[in-house]
Amino acid sequence: METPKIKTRMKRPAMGFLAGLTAALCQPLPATAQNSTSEKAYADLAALPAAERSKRLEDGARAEGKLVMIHTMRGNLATDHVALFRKRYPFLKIELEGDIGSQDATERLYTEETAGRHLTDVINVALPDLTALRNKDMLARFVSPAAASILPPYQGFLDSQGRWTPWYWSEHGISYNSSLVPKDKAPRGWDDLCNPFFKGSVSFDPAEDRYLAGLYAMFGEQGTQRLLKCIGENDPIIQRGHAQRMELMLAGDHMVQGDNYLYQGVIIQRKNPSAPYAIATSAPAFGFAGVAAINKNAQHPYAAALWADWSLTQESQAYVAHLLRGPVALKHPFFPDSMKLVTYVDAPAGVMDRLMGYWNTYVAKRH
Amino acid sequence: MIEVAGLRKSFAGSGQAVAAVAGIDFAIKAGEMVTLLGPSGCGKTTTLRCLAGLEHPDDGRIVIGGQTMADAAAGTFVPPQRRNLGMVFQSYAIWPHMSVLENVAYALEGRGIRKAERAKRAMEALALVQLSALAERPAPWLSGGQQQRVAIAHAMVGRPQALLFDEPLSNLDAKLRIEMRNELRRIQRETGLTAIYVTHDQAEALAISDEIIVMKDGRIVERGRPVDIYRRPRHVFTAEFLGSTNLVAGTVAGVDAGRLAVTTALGRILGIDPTGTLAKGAKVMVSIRPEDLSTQTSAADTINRFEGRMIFAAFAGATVEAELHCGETRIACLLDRDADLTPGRTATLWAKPEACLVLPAE
Amino acid sequence: MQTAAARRFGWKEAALALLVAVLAYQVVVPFAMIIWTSLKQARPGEEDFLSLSFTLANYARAYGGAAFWRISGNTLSFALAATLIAFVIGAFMAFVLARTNTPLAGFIGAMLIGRIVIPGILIAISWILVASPNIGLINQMTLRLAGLRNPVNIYSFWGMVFVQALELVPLTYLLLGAAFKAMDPRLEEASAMTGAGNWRTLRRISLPLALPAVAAALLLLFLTTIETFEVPLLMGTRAGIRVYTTEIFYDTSRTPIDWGLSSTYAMALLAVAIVLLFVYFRLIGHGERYQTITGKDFRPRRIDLGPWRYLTCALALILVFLITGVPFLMMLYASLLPFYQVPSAAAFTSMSFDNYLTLFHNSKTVAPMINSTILGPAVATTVVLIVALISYFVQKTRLRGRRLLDFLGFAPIAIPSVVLGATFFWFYLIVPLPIIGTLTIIGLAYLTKYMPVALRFVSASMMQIHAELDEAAQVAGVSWGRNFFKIMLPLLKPGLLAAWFWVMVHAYRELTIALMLARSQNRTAAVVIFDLWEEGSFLLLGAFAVLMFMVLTALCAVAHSISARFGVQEQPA
Repeated sequence: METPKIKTRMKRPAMGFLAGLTAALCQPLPATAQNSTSEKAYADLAALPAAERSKRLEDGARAEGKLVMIHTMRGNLATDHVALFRKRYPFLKIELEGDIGSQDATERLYTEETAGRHLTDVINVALPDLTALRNKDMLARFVSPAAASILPPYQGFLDSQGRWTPWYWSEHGISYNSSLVPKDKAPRGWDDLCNPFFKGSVSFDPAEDRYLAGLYAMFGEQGTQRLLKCIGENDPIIQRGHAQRMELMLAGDHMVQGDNYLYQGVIIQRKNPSAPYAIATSAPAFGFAGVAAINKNAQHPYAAALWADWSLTQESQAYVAHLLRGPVALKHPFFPDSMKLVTYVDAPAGVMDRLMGYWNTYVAKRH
Repeated sequence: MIEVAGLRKSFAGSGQAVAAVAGIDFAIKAGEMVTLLGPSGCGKTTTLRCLAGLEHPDDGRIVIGGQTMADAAAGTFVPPQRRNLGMVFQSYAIWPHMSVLENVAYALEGRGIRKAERAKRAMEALALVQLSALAERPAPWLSGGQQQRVAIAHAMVGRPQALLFDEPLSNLDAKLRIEMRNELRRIQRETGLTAIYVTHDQAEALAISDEIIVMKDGRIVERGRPVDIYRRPRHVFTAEFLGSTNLVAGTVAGVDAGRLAVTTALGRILGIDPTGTLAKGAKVMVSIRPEDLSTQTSAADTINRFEGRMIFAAFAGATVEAELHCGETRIACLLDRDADLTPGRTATLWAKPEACLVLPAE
Repeated sequence: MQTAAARRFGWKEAALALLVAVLAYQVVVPFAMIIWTSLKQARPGEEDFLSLSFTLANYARAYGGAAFWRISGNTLSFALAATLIAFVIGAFMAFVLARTNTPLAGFIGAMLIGRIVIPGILIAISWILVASPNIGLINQMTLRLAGLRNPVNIYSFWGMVFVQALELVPLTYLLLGAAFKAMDPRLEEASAMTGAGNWRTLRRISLPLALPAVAAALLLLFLTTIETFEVPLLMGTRAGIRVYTTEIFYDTSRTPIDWGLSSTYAMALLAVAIVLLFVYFRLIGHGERYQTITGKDFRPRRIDLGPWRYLTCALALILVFLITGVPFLMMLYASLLPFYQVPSAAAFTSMSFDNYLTLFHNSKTVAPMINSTILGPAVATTVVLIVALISYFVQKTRLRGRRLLDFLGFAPIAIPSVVLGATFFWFYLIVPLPIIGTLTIIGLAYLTKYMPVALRFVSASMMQIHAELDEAAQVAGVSWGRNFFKIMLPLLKPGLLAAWFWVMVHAYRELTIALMLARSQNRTAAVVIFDLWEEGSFLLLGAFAVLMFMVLTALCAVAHSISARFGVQEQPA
């Protein structure tokens, strides 16, 4: 249920907007509550035995009747996923708020909460994008018992405090156009992005935190700085849009993807087996988690917890695998066993700013 | 019917305000057609626009049909649509997206008149201007004269308490202009409407008006019936602006039995004083209209004889337009068509004392 | 008898009061928020945000470095080049299609406007597929036919200018076409009588008479290019050419977004807009000179070009092929492919309607299409009425401070979409009006966003209407409101219609704001496009755009046939 405070506020527009504005501006806006109702509920839940816990959770969600959520996947991918959840819990009215990217989702929750409006219960986002919300302590602590089903390689995605529940992962790896790149020239490691043979023919998206944090996880700060510097000297292609860059590369526009999800090419290759797509399997990939993070001031805490639990179920995980994304409780649908995977959560805040600075200086040449 | 008192209106010019109307008063009786006449910039159009309600007066009162339409001191201002006036604009202001009938009937909209009745009244107005046959035509497809008629019908259809004309004929060619002004006069007489007519064309003003108000620099110079204002102007400006005239500067030498003797460069001129204010020694201008000069003198006419040399003559059908040099002074005259036109010839001109108007120098 | 005070408050005063209220709410408030934010390091909602301590730190960061001035140079030269090229082509198209007897004028005009319907992302992608190195169609052909390797490169300054200029031609055409249509041919005939040739008449009479529209077009083209995003993002980044919008994009792509900095960037745009608007006002001076629609036998008529009309037709066809044909055909081609391939026999045999079937299968695309179909016409109609009122009060009354109305209506052109969207989001987060997540909030943001362009369209048209046409209506004894709807609006038709099309189509395809304000119930068609682009591929996107093209073309055709019944009729030759 909505708290009474919200209800009275919503009924006030008749007073005229100026009066409302003054009232709203004069109201102190607590950025975060110290002991939110959701966290209290989660602490109580954690103390219960399994059967009773799941009953309490479902009853609570049923009483709330609603879940307001941002899903990080786009369009049908998200709605089909949510449809499975909805089928399981038909009493919940689920508002899927916008198909926005994970950075936009965290930004939106951040803005709403800063303004004192508790509109969104759960956001499903890329873990490295959560930094700002973690710093402001905007996330509810909730430990899902389902986390036990997460396979060992992905246990590193978990948070000791339970501020998020990882339920899929994405990988950045090197891929190339096998008809443009002869076998003997195929890239084998990240240093090959600096190979003069690929000069002007390696493409990247404009920098994202999750990509830089991944490089940091593999090479540390100095290693990343060195790599970005030589990438910058090799005349990189910077173009927005992962899917589109993959299509362009496979159409023969350039040779190598220096920053892309491996699944992008696999999706195309499943549709068109003759697509000249190859993964550089000898280069390590780095993987970050997609997580469900619950708003500390969620208005529907039980429904939110229900989603976090459900995201790790067999049903949900199978759907993730079906999309060629990485499930955390199942085997990956295509990731080669031989390929090395470096998992990470994020990089320290100060480091992140410096990494972005290196990118801007060496690769984007903004300064 | 119409009263204007102390009317003032300025516009923000470049830097300072320019007074377009600098305090005028006049009244017009019901059923009269009065012309505001003057050169461009004299304030006549601004006055008319104040009457119509298109301008807010800075000062003064306007009363039309007993209702105060504008009173700057009291803060009263009736917007144009509530003044019940008809106005004919210089550009005709025909709405190009409507048919002739729609243009005329439009003024009846929003008055609770049924559509059929509106069409009927519009057709009556069109009949009055003899345009019934073209009612369904898109308005822009008419000729200039026809558009002028539409504009008149449009102004009249609402049965206004007065009609305002803002130089309505200035866009027509000469022949059409004469035809239309007679037409206007006919319609005005037939309907008996009070009308104010603004023009800078003195011939038009003389032909069409019951009375003429002459304006200059935002003020009224004088007012009178056309024949009086032409024959007996009381100001040099009026004499000059209406028709053409010869002006000769001089000093009043003496007053005798209603006639004044004036010493001028042409010699002594005997004339009359329409203002009745001049005394001996006053600086004056003598105004003699070209048509009042004649070469056919008789021995009895011993005064007001001016000898000069023919400089220029142009045959103009009924008359001859000629110019003579009398000493340093050029005199224009309209002569009989039988006059001898040889350039260089010496001729003697003569004018009746009644035709020589002695006016205060300005 | 009513009191004088009561008399003074009629329809006209009510309309003016409403207008001022709308402008204050829709323009002054957002601007106040943006300026305030630019002087703050705290974000809206944070405690320090409301305190009265200000800082110029954002200004120092935004404008302090040499990078800013380099980016300014790029932005301005890009905008200037695109503006000039778009203007020349657009003026040619407008004159030929609106004022001459060139064959196929109707078809070519419709195709030109059709271009506006294609989403910006797709246009950029189409040209990438046509003229990028290696895979571009042109480079493929030159390689195969002449062995020439990559003679053209779309990822370059001139590539960007080319695509952007073509993008702007329909806007130029709409603006100037409306003005040319309202031109009194007798003024041109008078010039022709003096023995001046057609070219000279065009240069000395027609263009100067259309000065308000010409100036408005140049102003809008320039500012629109500065504000444009798709071409700089998709082509400029790869070409290494950085402009204001991409800078703002990079600065707003990390959470928490630095709104202080992006608001500060908006101030630079505002400064440019103010300077240009001032120049525009100076250029136009007193609008009376341009009143070509007088109440005196105003008869729009077309010029007979004789045999030259086939040449103008051919030129116009080539241009419209580049402007609309190329993107549309690329879109159509891509939408039929399972994956993108350079055209070949294999590519053509692999064609199918699978992408369309996928779309129809996707129930999630229907509701956003309906939302946009409501939003586009509603926003367009409201905006057009508001700007008609603004131009009326600015040009046909002597109201004190009327220029301020014009300025307020135009100022939002300086607000980048991402900042505008954020401002509306914050505002309604703070102000407890329950419109978050509804179409209303997007509609309100669009109102502010599209007022400037529409205002210039309608203002140029208003300037051509002789004051006496309005005065005659006032004296006629009909209420002000009726006069406005029955006299002013029909006379303004060319400008209103052009503005309506422009706003409707752009509101339909606008992305940035829609994305920021989208929630479960108010997703628009453009958001779907973005989803398809981000996660799917441009093949599916192509299919969606082909469908959208059809819906919008139908909407435009309906609006056009409705509007044909009103306004000034052309005289049959």
